[in-house]
Amino acid sequence: MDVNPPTHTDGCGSDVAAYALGALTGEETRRFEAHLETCELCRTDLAGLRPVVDALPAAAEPMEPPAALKKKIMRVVEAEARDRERAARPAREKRGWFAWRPVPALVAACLFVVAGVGIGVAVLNDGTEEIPGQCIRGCDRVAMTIDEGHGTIEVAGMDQPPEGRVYQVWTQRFGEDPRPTDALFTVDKDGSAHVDVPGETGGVDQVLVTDEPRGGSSAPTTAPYFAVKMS
Amino acid sequence: MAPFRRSAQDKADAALRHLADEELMDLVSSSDAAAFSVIYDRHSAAAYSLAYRMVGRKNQADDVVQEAFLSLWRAGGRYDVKRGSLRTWVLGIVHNRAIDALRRATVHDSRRASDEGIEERFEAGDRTDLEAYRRGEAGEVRAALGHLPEDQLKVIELAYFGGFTHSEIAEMLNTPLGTVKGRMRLGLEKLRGVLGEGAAEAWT
Repeated sequence: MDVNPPTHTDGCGSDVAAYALGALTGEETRRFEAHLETCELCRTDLAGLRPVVDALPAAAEPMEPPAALKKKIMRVVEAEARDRERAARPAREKRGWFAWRPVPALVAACLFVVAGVGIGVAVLNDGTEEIPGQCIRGCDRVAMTIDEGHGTIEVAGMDQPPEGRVYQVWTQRFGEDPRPTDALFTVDKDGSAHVDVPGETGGVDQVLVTDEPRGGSSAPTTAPYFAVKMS
Repeated sequence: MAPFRRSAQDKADAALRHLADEELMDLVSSSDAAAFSVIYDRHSAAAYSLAYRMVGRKNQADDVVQEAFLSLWRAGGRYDVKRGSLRTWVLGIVHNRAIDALRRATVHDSRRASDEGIEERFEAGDRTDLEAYRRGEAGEVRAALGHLPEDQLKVIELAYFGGFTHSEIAEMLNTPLGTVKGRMRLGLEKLRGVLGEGAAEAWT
C-alpha cells in the first residue's frame, strides 16, 4: 500500500535538498536551521535524504593521502597531547615526592588494559624483557630493558636538565627509600638518552630519575621525571 | 640513541586497532594520540578521496584533510555514536571544510576564470570507468548516479562535489532557481530509490 509522503503546504520544503547537499549560502543555512527547529515536516524530509547524501563520497575516486600528511598531522596532535598533559600536571606534582612514590596502580592497570599487554612486560626475541615506564614530567616515552639482571633505560623526548644540574637514577625496593646510583646523565639534542642502571635489578621495585646537582645527591631533592615499575 | 625497542608499543598499537571507532573516540577525547592515529589510518583515504574530488588539487586536499582531522582531534569529545557513524562525521567535516576552501574568494575567482572547464570537471563524464574503481560500493554509488537524468546529475555534482550554491548553479546553467532546487530534490529521491534506504545507510 502506498503511503503518502509528507507534503510542505507552505513551500517551506523547497530548500531541504539544497541544504542536504550543502548548497545554501552561510546566511541561508542559518535561516534554514532555525526553521528546522520548528518544522517537523522538514526534519523528517531531511532525515530521509541524509543517507543518500552520506553515500555520495563513495563515488569519489579512491585515493591514498600522502604519508607526509599523516606525519604533519601527528606532529601537531602529539604536541597538543603533551600540552594537555602538562596543563593537567601541576595538581599531581603539588602532592610531592611522597605521594606519588607508588606508581598509581589504577592508572597503570588502565593503561595496560587498553594496551592489551598484561602488566606491560614484553619478552623480546633475544630473551630480554622490556618494561614500559611512566613519564611523569618532561619526557615523552621511557622503557627499560632487562638483560640477565641488568637494566638499561631508554628515554625519548626528555627536556634538558635545569642549568647546572644532571639527571640521576635511583633504585627503590619495596617499603624502602630510594637508593642513589652513580648513573648521572644528560640527554642528546633530540631529547633521547640510553642509560645503564648500575647493579642488579633483582629485588628492585622501581627505578626513578630526578634532577640533582652535578655529582649527584645521596637523597632525591626533586620530584621524579619518570618511573619504571618493575613488579 | 639506538632505535627504541618497539615490541611493547607494537602490541599496544595492535590492541588499539581492534577497538571500534566509538571506543577509540573515547580515548581520543582524553587526548590519546595513539588512538587518534588508528582513527586516521581508518578514515583518511575516504577523507582524502572526497577532499581531492572536491578541491581538485593535492596541496589543497592536504590542507582540507589536515583541518578536518585536527578538528576531529580537538572536538573528539563531541562525537556521539547515536547520531551516526564516525565515517559519516569525518566526511561531513571534510565536506564542510572543502566547501569553505572552494568558497573563499580567491579560489572561486580562479574557478570563475575558467568557467568553461567547470561542467566538464563536475559532470559524470567518466561514467564508463566504473570498472576502474576498486571498491564495490564506489561502483554502486556511481552506477546509481549514472541512472539519473543528466540535468539532475549535473546539479547534484555541482552542489555536492563542486561546492556551488543553488543560486550559483542557477546562474551558471542559466536556469531558474526553482528548477535547480526541484532537480536537486528529484535527483536525491531517485538516488534513494535506486540505492534503497538501507543500502545508502550501509555506506555511511
